[in-house]
Amino acid sequence: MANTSKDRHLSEKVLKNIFKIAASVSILAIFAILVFLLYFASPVFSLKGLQEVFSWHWQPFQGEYGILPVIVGSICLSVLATVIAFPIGISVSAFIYNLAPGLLARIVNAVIHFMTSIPTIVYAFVSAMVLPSLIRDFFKYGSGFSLLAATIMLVILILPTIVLLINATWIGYRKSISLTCAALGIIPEQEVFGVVLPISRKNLKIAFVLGFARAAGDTMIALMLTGNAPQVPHTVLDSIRALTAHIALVVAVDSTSAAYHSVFACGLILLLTTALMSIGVGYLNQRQDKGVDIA
Amino acid sequence: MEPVIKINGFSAGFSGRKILDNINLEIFPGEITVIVGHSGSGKTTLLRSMNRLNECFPEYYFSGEILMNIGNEMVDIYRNSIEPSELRRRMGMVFQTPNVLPVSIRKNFALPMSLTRGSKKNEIEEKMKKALKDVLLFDEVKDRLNDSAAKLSGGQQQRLCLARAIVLEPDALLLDEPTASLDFKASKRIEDLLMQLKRKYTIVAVSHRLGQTRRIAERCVVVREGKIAAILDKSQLMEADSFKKLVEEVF
Amino acid sequence: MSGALLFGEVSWFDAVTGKTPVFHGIWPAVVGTLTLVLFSTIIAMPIGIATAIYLAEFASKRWASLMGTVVDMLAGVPSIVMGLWGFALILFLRKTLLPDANTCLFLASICIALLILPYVIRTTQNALSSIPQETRLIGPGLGLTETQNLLYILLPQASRGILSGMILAMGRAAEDTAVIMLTGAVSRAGLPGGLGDKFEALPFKIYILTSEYRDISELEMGYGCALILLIMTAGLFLVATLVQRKLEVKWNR
Repeated sequence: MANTSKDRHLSEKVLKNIFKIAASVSILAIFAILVFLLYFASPVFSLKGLQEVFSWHWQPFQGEYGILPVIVGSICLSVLATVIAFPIGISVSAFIYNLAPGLLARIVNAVIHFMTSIPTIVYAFVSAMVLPSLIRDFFKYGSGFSLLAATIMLVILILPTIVLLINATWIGYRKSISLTCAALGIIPEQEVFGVVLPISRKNLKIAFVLGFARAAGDTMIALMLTGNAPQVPHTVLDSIRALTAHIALVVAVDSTSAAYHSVFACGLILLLTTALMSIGVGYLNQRQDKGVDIA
Repeated sequence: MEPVIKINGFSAGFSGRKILDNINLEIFPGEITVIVGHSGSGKTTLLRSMNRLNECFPEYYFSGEILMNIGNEMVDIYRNSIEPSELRRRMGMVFQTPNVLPVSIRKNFALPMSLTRGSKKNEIEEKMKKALKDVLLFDEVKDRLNDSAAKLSGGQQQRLCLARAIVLEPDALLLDEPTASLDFKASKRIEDLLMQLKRKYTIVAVSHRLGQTRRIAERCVVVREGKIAAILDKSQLMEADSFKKLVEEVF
Repeated sequence: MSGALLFGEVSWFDAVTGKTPVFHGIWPAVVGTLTLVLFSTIIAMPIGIATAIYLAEFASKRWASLMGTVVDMLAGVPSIVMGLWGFALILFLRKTLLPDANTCLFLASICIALLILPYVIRTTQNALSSIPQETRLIGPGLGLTETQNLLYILLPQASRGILSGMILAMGRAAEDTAVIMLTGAVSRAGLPGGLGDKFEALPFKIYILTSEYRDISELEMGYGCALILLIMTAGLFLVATLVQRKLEVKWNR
């Protein structure tokens, strides 16, 4: 009896350690990514390297490896997409929450859910076939592969992310708040925009940040719709190049090692940006909901 | 009579909030000891400290000792080498809401028996039938042992839980408001059962019904704000005056 | 949609059995994507589930929240960065241990596994922590040890949630393009030969065909790839939803 209990003890210990080791592997993975990118981007971290990478000209064949236009392009694209998608996301959420009649709300909800399962590459492929020529014909300007085309598709891509995150919070409110509001004579529109929206401010911020991260981290839509010209755009009809697409393009055409360094610098910028956002979201999630201030 | 469980200066709580404060208590064999008190008085925590179940919750702390008669020796259950799992097997516990596993009736017995006692198939079958007969459930379920236990009525489920505890051959039974979720008739059946089972097992029960307490208890422990406020024996329980005092104490 | 689109001029039987190599059809890309999903799931599933079990059941509150943030960080890593990491790994291996190292199916599987790992962890963790307190106490109350309770009571209870998360993760593995374009996907490779070989995959094929199509038949092939990929991911999504719905019915009863 004593022996079997000892055996059991041992196997329990072994099992627990297996779980622990698996957890460490997962944690190590993220550090491995960080370390490798830092290592390969390290040549950039000299005065000369920084000057070379943080300049306004990308002309690898003339030895110019500036990624500033690409950074600006990425910021324009992701900010624009998030700023447009966010209010649409709130409206759709409100629609599903209580503004639409039951059946319609359920259909919209199902469609939004289903949209998450559509591969990005399918969006990119179909829109690359259709959208640029439409834009070209409508505005009579450029090739149509532009900031505008990519923004439109990114809005569609990140909309489900935003709506599902908002809905996840609001669904909990429906039970607790709806009856109270109805009893107080508050109409549905007032309930959504006057009560539910203000008290879920924290989760709205999280939805915004995660939506932005999704937009900034997307590769295929940026790659297939922007036209990939590394320049600072003057209008939404201009072509741009995003950081993600830049990495894909440069690595694909086996270039010089100096070009590689700049690519790793791009990767590092992307990684640090998204990591910062994850930490920010983690912080927001942990922060206690301060007293609800519906004035 | 020698006590089977002896609690000496026991205090406990969670995340720094004290729930039990210096409890001293003796539990005797062949009796039903009933713990009564307000909700939040600490009666469930007291019950669960006897099988170390409180340790399944985060930031549990305790001081003092609980001695238990195991193999004719008083053993400190928190400090001696007895495994918590072995201790809990010896202290069969039944919860407030019937918590059958969402598997077949047979599997409800087979799984814990094979895991804690290493029982084989024939042994499981035999002991399961005996335990089901002990709780007077056998005739009701004998034809559907492979059906999901979740399909049984609340009272049947609770008797199944009792049988599942008995089948592991415990030394004592810890019952946490075992009739709380049952109607009057089902409660009465459980009460009758307990009156029979007390000859074989030491029984400690938490109850919120004073009528029930009066009917089944040999000894009644009143807990208030984590302290023992009074201990009444059978004669005191039957006496109108002290019972009235008890009613005032608890409600 | 026709046989010719899938298998080119090779008969379907010869193509499916691998008797005759297919160069002008989608078939090798279909098999490549399935293989990639299979291997990345095989890598991510055990590590992810074990990590989640550790976080949900054994880690202290502090550790769990700290490691949770790291898992979220991993989830936030853009897939192109994950691909770049795989690419860097090969550069590093070439410089040090293996001068012949090259991007391949195995490398892509590892990178995709890392990409879906956080999904597996989070869904498993959620499935475990949504088990009600009463159910958690059944095992210990009967004298089961911590790990017995985990293996025989908690994990079976959480299995549907874990399964549906796993299926969604597979959809994610099938659709990702950015990772594989840096880690070994090519436009012409035939059926995947081995873990160390280059491979074809549906998403990459779509990308290549969009940018390089020469005639209408290649464009049709692009639509074919997109349709097959969409059917795959939508199918996985539906299965996951059904599994999840059954789970909710079970809990609500």
